[in-house]
Amino acid sequence: MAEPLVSLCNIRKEFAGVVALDDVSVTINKGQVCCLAGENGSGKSTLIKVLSGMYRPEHGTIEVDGHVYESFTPADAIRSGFQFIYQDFSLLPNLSVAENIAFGELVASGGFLYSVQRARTIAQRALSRINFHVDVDAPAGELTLAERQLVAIAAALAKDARLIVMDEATTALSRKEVEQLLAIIEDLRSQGVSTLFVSHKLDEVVSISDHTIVLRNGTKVADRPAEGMNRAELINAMTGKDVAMNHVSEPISADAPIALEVSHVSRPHCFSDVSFQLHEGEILGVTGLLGSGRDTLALALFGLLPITEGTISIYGERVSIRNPRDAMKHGIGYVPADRLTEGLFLDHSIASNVAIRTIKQIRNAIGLVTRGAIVRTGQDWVDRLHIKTPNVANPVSGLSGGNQQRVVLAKWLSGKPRILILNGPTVGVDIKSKSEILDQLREFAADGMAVIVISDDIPELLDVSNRIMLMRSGSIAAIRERKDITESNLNELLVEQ
Amino acid sequence: MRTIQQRFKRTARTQEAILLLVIAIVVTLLTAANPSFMTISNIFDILRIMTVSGMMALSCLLIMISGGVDVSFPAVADAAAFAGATILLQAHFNGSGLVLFLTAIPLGMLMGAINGFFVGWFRIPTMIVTLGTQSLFYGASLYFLGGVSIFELPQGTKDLAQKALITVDSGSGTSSLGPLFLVLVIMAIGVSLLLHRTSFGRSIYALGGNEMVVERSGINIRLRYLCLYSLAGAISAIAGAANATIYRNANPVGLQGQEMGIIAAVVLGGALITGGKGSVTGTLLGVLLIAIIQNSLVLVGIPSTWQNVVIGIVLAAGIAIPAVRHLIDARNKTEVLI
Repeated sequence: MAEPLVSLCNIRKEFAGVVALDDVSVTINKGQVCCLAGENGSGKSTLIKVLSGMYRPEHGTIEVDGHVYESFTPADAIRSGFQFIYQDFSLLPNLSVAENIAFGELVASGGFLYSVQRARTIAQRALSRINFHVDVDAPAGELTLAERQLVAIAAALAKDARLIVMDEATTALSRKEVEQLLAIIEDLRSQGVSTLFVSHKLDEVVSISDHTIVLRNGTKVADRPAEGMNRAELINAMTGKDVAMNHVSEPISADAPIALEVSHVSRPHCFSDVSFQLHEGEILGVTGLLGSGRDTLALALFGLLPITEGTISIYGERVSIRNPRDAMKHGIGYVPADRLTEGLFLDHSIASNVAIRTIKQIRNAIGLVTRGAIVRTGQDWVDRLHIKTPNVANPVSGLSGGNQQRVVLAKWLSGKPRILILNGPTVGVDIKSKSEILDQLREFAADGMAVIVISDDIPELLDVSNRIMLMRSGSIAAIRERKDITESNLNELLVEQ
Repeated sequence: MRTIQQRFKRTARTQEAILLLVIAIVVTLLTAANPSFMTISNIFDILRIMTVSGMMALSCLLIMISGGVDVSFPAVADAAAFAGATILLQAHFNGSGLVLFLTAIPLGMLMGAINGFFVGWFRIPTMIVTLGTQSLFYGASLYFLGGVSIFELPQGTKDLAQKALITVDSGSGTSSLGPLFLVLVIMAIGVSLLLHRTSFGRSIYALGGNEMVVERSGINIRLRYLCLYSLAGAISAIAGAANATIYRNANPVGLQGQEMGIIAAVVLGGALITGGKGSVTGTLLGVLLIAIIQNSLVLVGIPSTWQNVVIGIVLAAGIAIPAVRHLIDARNKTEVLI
């Protein structure tokens, strides 16, 4: 019954002597939803690039529809109906939705003339397959991330996709949007389209797939029906050891000083009448759907979207936070969600990135900053946060996601904030680094820092927080002690209207 | 849905609309200050001024939409026209004035292809490549062909310069508009059709939007760049030949220094300097506005020394307005999205 669509047989791929894939064989059947899991550096991306024809393996063959390819080119991949949706969705922001969807058919491989009308027809047909309604004449850059994702899927379908490969496609989506996406993948399965889903988020992996493939250090360590595979087994397969993500933090004692008190703060269109307290040494987890006000609240506390009503007090002293300089002056640090664009100078060295926050403190007697001082600061934090790098002078862009995130953390921690706000601290970070980063956050809290963690990742929040605050439509829907809440009742609260 | 569509159409058209409005205001003011502004002969003068700069702007626009900033188009125009004229004189050519264009076009395409080669194959930013090649083209033309303007152009070219497309008798004498303005109009329509009605044109916008996405969709982007830059070179060469024809001399450095003004006019016309956006209508309106100012300040008694200052102010304002609007849009959007 299960008919294979593509088989990768005994694939071996090396880069300058480093083995990225070692004798990996994978088969994807027609209409199957397959999940490819693995840590950063496990060979997932390499495998996908082999499948797309971008990398040519040193050894092994690719078989599509019974035809064995000795060398598989990108053109072969497109001809075989393999479509790839990358993290950035590969859309052209300045072109209309219709053009984006019809681009392959009309522009890339089309004739000389181009017809707007035909583009619209092609787009409508593809969009109707996933039952998604959107203005096809709007530029793709004006869509929300979730809409772009669906447009990217429609574009793949317009090219007669038989296999859609989604590389970390859910990273930017909120929980509800992910659920919609999963429903669409279900639907495509019934239309006979296969999906290869590459994801860090384990819940999704477990819930959607028919089949799960796990890579570790370039070898296949699991390849089996997804049914009956639970989270713990999956983590075990990915990391090769048990990573506990079931920490339950105790409530902070009521005697602890109140580090941050927010009372009745509002900002039009963002949040209204929000009040809460944050104790010294406490980690407050904040979650909510996109648009619930959780992100704007964080930006408000950091002065990027100043509040219009209400008061903020830090250690009992009422403060006014009109811009990030005010916030930093009062000891508030903010680690943004998008570390690549907001948190790091990617081409600069690790040391410079870390030292930028404390550049004034490391000046020498005549007010100059020496290379040595920067390197020392960088080295200090690299050691403290266990950032894996041979040299702090290397650019940040060469680090893995987890280590990049630690550089962002180091940058803020070096300023010794009293209150640290983190938005999605482990987005795009593999599970092992994630659990280490969360451990480090707990250590910093234990040293007296007050921490707010905003996240979509419920297991992560449960693991790290003392208390959890849920936001909905701009106000606080619930605040619970960690010990009084479980994953399932938090999920219920989240989708409740 | 409808409102999103309307909003998009509105934003897409604003820059053109603003320009039209500004031109209307400027024209009204100039006419009020000096009624001779609105005479046929003056209007023809303005159109003649914008013929060559309009053609160069089209070349500049094509590259800018693809995400590059070309500064070599005056060099390509000058070198192609100068070399073309030299060849015709050496051959003692005596035919139609259009042959100067036909000779210049392949030379322009060749120079464009050199730019396209560096941009496509080595991924060097266009501005860097063309800063280099403009010196190369000027230098090569001076070295091989000499630096003396050619005033004795072939008879056919002289005849073409004197041909009139439209002749109007206005009391004090006749004014006429040459056929080269018609060439600009035809080229503008051609470029517009190319941009919107051909898959090649759409891929130019796509390259300006995100080069990597275009590459992933299986398009050979090196070849596209090569074709695009050759086309832009051909258009520049036509501009150079038109310049030599209209001003009746082939000057090896006649258009040197005009690149920034033209780039600014294209940006004024709504093209995004980072690529992906731009229209022929906007570009021509931008060029027209600059031509009006160049032509008419003297008419209203503003000394010509102030001309550059006024043009500078107009350009700065015209480029700042959309930038500020974009900033405000972005800010509003963030608040809604988050």
